[in-house]
Amino acid sequence: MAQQCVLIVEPDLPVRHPVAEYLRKCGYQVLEAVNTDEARILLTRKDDIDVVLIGGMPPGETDVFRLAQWIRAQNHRAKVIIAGTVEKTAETAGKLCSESSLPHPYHPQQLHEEIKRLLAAHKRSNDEG
Amino acid sequence: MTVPATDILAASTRATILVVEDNVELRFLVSDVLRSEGFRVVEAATVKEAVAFLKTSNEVSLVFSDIVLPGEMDGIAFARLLERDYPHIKIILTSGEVSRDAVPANLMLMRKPYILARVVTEVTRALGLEPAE
Repeated sequence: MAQQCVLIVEPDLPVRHPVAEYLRKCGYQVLEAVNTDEARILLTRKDDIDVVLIGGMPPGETDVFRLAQWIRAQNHRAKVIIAGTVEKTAETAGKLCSESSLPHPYHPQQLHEEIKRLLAAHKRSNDEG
Repeated sequence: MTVPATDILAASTRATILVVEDNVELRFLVSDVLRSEGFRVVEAATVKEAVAFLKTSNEVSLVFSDIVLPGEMDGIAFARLLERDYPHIKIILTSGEVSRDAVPANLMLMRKPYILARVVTEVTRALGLEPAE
């Protein structure tokens, strides 16, 4: 079976990176986009993306929905999952991992805890300037 | 005690490379080829994102960074910051626009366009590692 491909669209590196690494450990090829513009470029260039996982976006962000509509309009094969929150993003990664051929590298809750740790460290470093 | 997830991942790889590139296709290609060689790769689109990551992690061994980047800091300013605050981190800069003269002589510059295999060669060499089997 060909390696499944996931595109994660997530602006925050402390969220995007651990989720992407988790999915790679589950056997997926993972592409990372920091915004919907990057996602469109990758979706245009690669036609073997199976899942687009959209993580957290700023409140009121309409680009997420435009991206989802654009993917449908392109008749792209990718399934679009809009997680919306960090917790749901980690949970979705866990579900995708369950569907893969490899076992979970660790529990999705542990992934969520790690993201929270990184976000807190990121916030501290920003506060310190 | 719960082991941080990133530590679990880092333990199984050769070294961690931070790739800073605002061209998403190029960032993906470089990251993908480095991962295929056993490196762990962190992808950042801006220096700001890269610096924020470095403040939360001490696992990065090498930064592979474009020079012309969006935001307040370009790759050369980033390299100076790295030399000051993270002297243990190796640096490879890359650009298709900036001339060699504009880059401090002690910093390695890879001109764009580059061959992906050469990225692996230079990263491996900069880290003093043996080529992957």
